[in-house]
Amino acid sequence: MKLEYVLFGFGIIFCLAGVGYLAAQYVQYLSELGQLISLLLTVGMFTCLGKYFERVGW
Amino acid sequence: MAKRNTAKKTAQRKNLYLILTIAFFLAIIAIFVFDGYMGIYDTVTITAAEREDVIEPDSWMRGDYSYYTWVEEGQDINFVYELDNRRFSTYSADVEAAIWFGESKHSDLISQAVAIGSFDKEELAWTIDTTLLRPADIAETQDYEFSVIITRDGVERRIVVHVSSLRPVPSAQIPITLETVKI
Repeated sequence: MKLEYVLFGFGIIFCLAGVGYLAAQYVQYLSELGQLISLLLTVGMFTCLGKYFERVGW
Repeated sequence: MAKRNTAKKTAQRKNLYLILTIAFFLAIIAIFVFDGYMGIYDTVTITAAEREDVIEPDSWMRGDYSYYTWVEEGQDINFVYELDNRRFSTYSADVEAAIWFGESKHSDLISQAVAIGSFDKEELAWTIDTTLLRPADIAETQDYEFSVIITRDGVERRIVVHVSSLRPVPSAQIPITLETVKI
């Protein structure tokens, strides 16, 4: 049971790292305005995600 | 009844945050696509003999400073420089192209002001005759290289052209000694 959670954890970390790496590569080609808007949207996204998990009871 | 309404409202708000999260994520993807498409893109097409090389805008963005191509001496090499304006406003710039040998400029190829309407393209073309380009200090049997540098609006594109000499290299004067072999 615990091993499964560890594997899930690794899977999530690798997924996030992969998406983060691709985003970091692609962000280089965006304009400064695009980068700024993307940053603000990312902040908004994580804020809402945090509020969602808070409401769920995590 | 009041308790049930409160629970319903809480569930709705919870879903609202999830919907907002997804909406923000989709907006980020949309910005990536939209911003990636917009901008000024330049493509260089080089034609020498039967060969055509296309230098896509991606290859400049990857940070490759130079692009290499080759031609046989005496052949013409044709360049087509295409500017693609993917913006909502007109793009104006002075486009210059010149032949360089190392750090010294040999000759100008074009110098032209362009004004491209929004979501429009413009092509500039020129031809280089490699017959007359050979520098005086390079022997006719040796290959040589020159650069075509295109500049516009602070952006520099460098294309290095290798010119192959068609003259045969004279055989080296190697002393040959014949030895008699006694059997």
